[in-house]
Amino acid sequence: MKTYPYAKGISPTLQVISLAILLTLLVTACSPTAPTQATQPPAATDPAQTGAVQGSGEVSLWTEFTAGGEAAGIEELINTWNGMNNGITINHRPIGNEEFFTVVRTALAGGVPPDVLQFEGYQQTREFAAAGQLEDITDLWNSVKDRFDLADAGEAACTFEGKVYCIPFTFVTGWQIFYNPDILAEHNIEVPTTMEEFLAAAETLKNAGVTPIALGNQAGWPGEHWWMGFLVQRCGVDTVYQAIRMEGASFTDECFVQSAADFQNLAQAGYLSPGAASDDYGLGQAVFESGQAAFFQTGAWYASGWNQPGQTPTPFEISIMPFPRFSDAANQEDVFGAITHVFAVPSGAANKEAALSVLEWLASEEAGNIWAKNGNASVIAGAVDNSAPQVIKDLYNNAKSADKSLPWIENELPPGVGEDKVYNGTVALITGAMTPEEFMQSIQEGLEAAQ
Amino acid sequence: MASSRLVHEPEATMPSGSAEARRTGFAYQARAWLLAAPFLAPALLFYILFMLVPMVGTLALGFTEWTGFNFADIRFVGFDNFAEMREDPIFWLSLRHNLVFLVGAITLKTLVALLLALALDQRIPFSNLFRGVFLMPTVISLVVVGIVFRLALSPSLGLVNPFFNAIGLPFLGGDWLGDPNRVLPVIILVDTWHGFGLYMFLFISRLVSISPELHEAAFVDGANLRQDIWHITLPLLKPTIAMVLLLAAIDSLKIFAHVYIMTRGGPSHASEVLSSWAYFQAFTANKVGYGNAILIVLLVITFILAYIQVTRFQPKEEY
Repeated sequence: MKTYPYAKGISPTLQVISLAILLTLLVTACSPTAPTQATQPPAATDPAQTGAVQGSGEVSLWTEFTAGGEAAGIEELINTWNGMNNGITINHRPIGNEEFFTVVRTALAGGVPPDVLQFEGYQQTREFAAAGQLEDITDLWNSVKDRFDLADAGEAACTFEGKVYCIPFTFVTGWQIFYNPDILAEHNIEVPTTMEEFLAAAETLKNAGVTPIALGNQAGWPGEHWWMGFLVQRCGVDTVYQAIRMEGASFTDECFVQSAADFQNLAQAGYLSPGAASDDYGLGQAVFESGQAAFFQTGAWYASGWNQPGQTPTPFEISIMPFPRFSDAANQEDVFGAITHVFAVPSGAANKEAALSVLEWLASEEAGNIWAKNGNASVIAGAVDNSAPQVIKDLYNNAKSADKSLPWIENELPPGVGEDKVYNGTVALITGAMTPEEFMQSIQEGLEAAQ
Repeated sequence: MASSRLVHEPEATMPSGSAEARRTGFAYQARAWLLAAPFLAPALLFYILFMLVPMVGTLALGFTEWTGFNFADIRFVGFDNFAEMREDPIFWLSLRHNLVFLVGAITLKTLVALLLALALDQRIPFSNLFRGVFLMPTVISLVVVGIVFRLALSPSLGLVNPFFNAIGLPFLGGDWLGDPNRVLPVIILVDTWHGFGLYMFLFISRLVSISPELHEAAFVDGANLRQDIWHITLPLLKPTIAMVLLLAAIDSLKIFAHVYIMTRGGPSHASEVLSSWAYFQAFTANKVGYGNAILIVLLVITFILAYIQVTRFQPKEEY
């Protein structure tokens, strides 16, 4: 039998200390969690401003607005609301776009969501709502719907099985290319108005040793933007939706393959920056802003950020042109871009009543004007025209005048298709690892497998 | 030995098998546990919370279908996820990349670490300085290393291609992380650079413990340096080499941060490994069950390697 002589030597004092430490640890581990925030007494209420505000206390708000006009806009919105002293205080948590979805999903599954949540609508709405994680706000939406531009598009981004779960907030268009006018002037190039002119300009620049297009497509979505630019003009929005729903069209149809070939031609002709397949979005942007490339395509959010305080000015004045079309393209009307930011109340929100009050205010003219003033294309009717900088007005009105707009296609496809087949496929088109036919075939197969 | 005498002394005086002896033994054990528990508890608590619970959770989720949005939606699917792997070409591609990475990284890390340790053991000038310099990459965060190399290797704004141009070797440049044929070797090299320092130190710590008399005896018998290393040093380093191989292998199988930061598994899966593919499935494709099943495969491979090392490569004698 083993004995433990060293235990014999334990002094009573040491034993008492050990027991005390053990008990302390047990008590600490088993004690109820301390409240993370002390309960705040209701703030002083200004009767003139409370109006229909229901509820009180603190409302937690999570967004992916961490930079540029989005960060400035949400900060002003919150300051404005909190300044009303109506008994409800917004506590904002900005989360970086890269980790936003993971954080939100963890919070929803863990039963600790914020009171108000911003996300990107469409597929995310369907996923969250299907899991029972969003509050049905159909009644609220119907009561504020008339305040919105593009109300049908906004409703589509927020609807699941006939019910509305969020309110639309920002429209982001992709139908533009940012360019460096100094480089064009230096090489006697007119601003292209058609895709033929654009390709001719790219050829001229390449021959002069200038990188025509800055692209950082490591993540796949910046290249997807280019492909979507070709896709809407080759197929049109209706045909793309037919393919997504597998009703009357397929991603292997000729117009889809042609759009992929159009994108791959840019790479094979040597028009893309040398790190197009491996640089991330930020590096692609840096190539453009450092004056090393003439053109840069990205979403309208880029325009909302460059005039913010603290932003390093570029050595040239960035200009914008519409995404050019081939003169023989089948569709001459449709563009791409979508409702990109929506707000919802999670069904597990701790302060639901107050959260709905905040949501209703976010759908107001006042909130829309604040959002637009900070360089964001608010979908509250008249907000962009009344308050947005000219560049945002131009982009927004250009998109509004289009016949139809194709949302970011990954948001309308199952995530395993959009963020795998599409994203990786656009990289493969650049490296030559896939042909246009293989790219479209992989999307079609992925879609069929997901169905 | 003094310690074993202390352990056995009371046993000899204890009336074995008697009720009193059992009571006294239990009392000793209870008091010993009482003393040990407060010191063990914090580490044990963390180990259980952050190691065992997630591991059991991973094992359990590997047999389910779950989107990750609501615990109420978890559905047990048996071995369906493992069956799905058979039809998943990216899984097999990732597994192949893991094996290439395993062989490449452990070979390079062990060789570089061993050669440098042997060199630094030869009393060359500034050897202590070099030991510190070579260890430095190991203490840098994986994420920082990934970001720095991603920037340095960028063909648009990086430093590496201009360097090759400047020394008249432009043909060596290119899209380091965007070329499907080049990306995996590049990540292996970065991982080797980041990790060899620790293994070099393990070798050095073993080398300094080898008695100088053994080397002196070899030289007296007419051995040259190469023969001394081959016949004296390396045989004595065998247990350390085995340990380094195991650690490097486990390290290589766990590869994630470098891949995720530098390439995200791209271009178009050319650097995808099991952990990055599992991450994509669980957190992007909303297939949490399938992602966990991939991690279970990775876990099993790691356990097999560890088992082989523990049972086959243990040192039989020590000097």
